[in-house]
Amino acid sequence: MLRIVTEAGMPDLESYLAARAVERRIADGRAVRATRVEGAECELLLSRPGIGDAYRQLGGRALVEHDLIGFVSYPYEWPAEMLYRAGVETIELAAELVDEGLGLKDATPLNVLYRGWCPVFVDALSVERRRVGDQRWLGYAQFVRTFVLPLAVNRDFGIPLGQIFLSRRDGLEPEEVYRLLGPLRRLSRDYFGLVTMPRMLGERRAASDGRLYEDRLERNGEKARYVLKTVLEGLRSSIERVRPRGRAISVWSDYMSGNNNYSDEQFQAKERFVGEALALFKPGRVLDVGCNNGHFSAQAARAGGEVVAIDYDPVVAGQLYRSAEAGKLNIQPMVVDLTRPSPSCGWNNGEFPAFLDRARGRFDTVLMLAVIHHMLVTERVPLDSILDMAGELTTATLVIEYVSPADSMFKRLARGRDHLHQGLTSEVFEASLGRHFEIVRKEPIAGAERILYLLRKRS
Amino acid sequence: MKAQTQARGRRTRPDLAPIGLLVISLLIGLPERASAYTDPGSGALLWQSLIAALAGIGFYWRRFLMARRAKSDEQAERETGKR
Repeated sequence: MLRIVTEAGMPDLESYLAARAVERRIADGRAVRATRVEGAECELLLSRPGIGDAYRQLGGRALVEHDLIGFVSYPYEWPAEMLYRAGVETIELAAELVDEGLGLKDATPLNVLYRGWCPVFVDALSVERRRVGDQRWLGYAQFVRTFVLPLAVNRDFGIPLGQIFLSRRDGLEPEEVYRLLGPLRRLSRDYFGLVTMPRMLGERRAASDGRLYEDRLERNGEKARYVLKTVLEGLRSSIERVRPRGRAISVWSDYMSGNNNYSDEQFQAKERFVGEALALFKPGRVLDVGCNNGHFSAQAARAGGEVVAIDYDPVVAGQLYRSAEAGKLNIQPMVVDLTRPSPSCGWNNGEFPAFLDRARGRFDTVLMLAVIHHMLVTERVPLDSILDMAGELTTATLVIEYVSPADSMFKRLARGRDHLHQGLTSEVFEASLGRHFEIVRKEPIAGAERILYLLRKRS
Repeated sequence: MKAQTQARGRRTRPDLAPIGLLVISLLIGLPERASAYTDPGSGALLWQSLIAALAGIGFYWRRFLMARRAKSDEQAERETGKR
């Protein structure tokens, strides 16, 4: 990926390239590599009309190359664990930069992308030189709005991050959160300094008082640095207090520990089938749909795949994040419902592309295990449409589990409307598959009303 | 006896009790008002300035304490040196 840097951005670029805190993070993959393109290579790139024109039009002064980061994801698609982690990376980077006389201009989860479980700081030009004696961090309020408050209301009121960030680019204002709080919570350690005090102080000022934003430099540089570090440590503590503890439970959080339809033998048979499929067609980029806590994502990751694992339940996506991080598995969990995926949003519906636009054609292996009946029954998506989408998502391999209407879970979902799904026999299923896929292997799960299929896309 | 307790009771943090009381009394006395959307973020900035001011006091206080400790270490060394 190429970045054109204008005159105004040059000092920030230089700061990013010189910062030791950044260098350390680039080395372990937590910040995006930035290499200046110079000399003959630069000339060559600028000679290409698209790049050259943009460069000249913007008044470019430098060309920088960045690595492409895994699969782009946005905060409304993250479980709480990932928002917390991104916040910690941000505040720790800001604190480490202080000793080098540098700082971050802003603090938003949009500055962080994920590569598997690993957060990567990507906004190179957010790094700036700080003036000696400046003890204020202008990113403070944004850090609270976009990291701490969403995590707090997610934990205390169950408000999903998806709801917050889809409708609000910049998180939650203290005033909005104040309305949710009872008198005890308003005085609690978690909310007092983040919500109650800012709200009170904000109201008591005259609206026209612009003096607040005037520059005020301390004469003592050492003191300014000490104050800044204290303030940043305070924020570090704030986000630690709202750290997701992994105690949340949901309808699906105990699926893998036994609240499911499979006997041990049946489950092992499924594992074997998937393992053999991954051995037969080595996975490159994998999409696991309805991943739950990622048992099969982990299988794919261990077989060498780069896995994006989606589930509509943020609790299990969070559990998966914990285990992926602990096991250092290349799995990027996301909270996405394939039947109602993230739309394009932002200005002109063009700032943040839809999930499907990012996903189509990007994966060579797609897993749809124990998920199709949810799409068919609960969301009433027609079979042909589901398989059409599967055909768009994968470029090669599909591993899918057929669930018969006679299956107990299927019946439970159908809630007595069995007649709607009578026609869903395995023959009908295979006929629909045949439009896009060739059946490589087919294995009924003994004793269950389910069949596993290994498929390859027809060219 | 009194001198001893006074020495032990000397705190090494700035006394926050009066500030705490002021804040709580302000909160109790605060009527419900429409939210200040005209200038969002100003409240958080002011709060940051407040913390910064307290941290500033802490900075000088720590420096004062470290200087005093250095002085008393010096004194102790001189005394042991004499003996």
